[in-house]
Amino acid sequence: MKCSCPRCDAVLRLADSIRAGKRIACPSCQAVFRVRQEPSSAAAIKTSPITTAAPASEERPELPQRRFPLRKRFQPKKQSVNPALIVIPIAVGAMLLIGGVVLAVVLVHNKNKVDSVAKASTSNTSRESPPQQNSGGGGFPGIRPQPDQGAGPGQLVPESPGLPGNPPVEQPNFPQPTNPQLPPQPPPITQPPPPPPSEPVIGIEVGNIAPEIEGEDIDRKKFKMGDYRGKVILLDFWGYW
Amino acid sequence: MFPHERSLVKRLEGKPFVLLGVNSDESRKELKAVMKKEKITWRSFWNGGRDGPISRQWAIRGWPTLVIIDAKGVIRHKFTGSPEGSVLDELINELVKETELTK
Repeated sequence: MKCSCPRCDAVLRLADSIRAGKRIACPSCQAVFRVRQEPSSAAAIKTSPITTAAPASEERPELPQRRFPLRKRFQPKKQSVNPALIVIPIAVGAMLLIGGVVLAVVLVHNKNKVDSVAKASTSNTSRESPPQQNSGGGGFPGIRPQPDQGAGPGQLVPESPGLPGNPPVEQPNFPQPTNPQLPPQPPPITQPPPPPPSEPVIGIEVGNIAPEIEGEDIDRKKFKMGDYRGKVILLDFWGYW
Repeated sequence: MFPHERSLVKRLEGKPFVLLGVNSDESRKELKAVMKKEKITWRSFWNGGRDGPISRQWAIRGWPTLVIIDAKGVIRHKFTGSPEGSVLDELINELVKETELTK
């Protein structure tokens, strides 16, 4: 079916699905109008089917070309906005990652420092312990001549205090006592049992210190069991009945 | 019982040992007669009966009760009822030896 634009009189070739009364936009002048099934269209078809088709074909490609490029232009703009929104979170994430890495590096460095300190202390101890025994392993020139000179370790000991190595010697001592302290804990438990025998309580049971007995004998003469301290006593609770 | 105690006292005369009694009779007069008769030469506390203060302090529930106390005053053995004389001798001899060695 064909119809003409009421504004620019362009003859339009319509698809079969478009019926009369439907609103369409003229591709040439973009005027919106309702399709009319005009008798003149039939004459127009006869007269200038090609001419009408030609301009229509020429104009149609132009319009789509204008519209699509416009859309394409707008689309890139929209896309350009989206990338910005995407870039910001990415940047934030990158910052967080960098921060995490920095923290990890700092922690690792700290550990390394601690380890290095521990190693240093151990190395100091290892260095110093040998000098006390024999020759100066600490690398101090003063120590080496001393062992070489005299076999007496006593000479080394008095001079070694002046060396910086002595304080570290004390440090190794600290861990040593701590380790022994763990085993000593059991002893306290074992120690409590011994006290009872060492410090007997006054009582009437075996193992107790016998309570004092003070009284008078058959003849009303006063005496006490403590008078016989230093002797083995056989105490006989008796009666004649 | 009395014969063994007599022999014990006699045997350990001069040793660091003493036999002390806690008598729970109720009559001094009767007890004196018994001591004379049984030749009981060792001293006894007068408890004034089985419910006397000394037997109560020591929670004595049976007679005789024998207690062996070492030279330091520590109770080493306790018998309710009279043990065999040989057992008593052995324990006392051991403690007397111990006391003599520490002196």
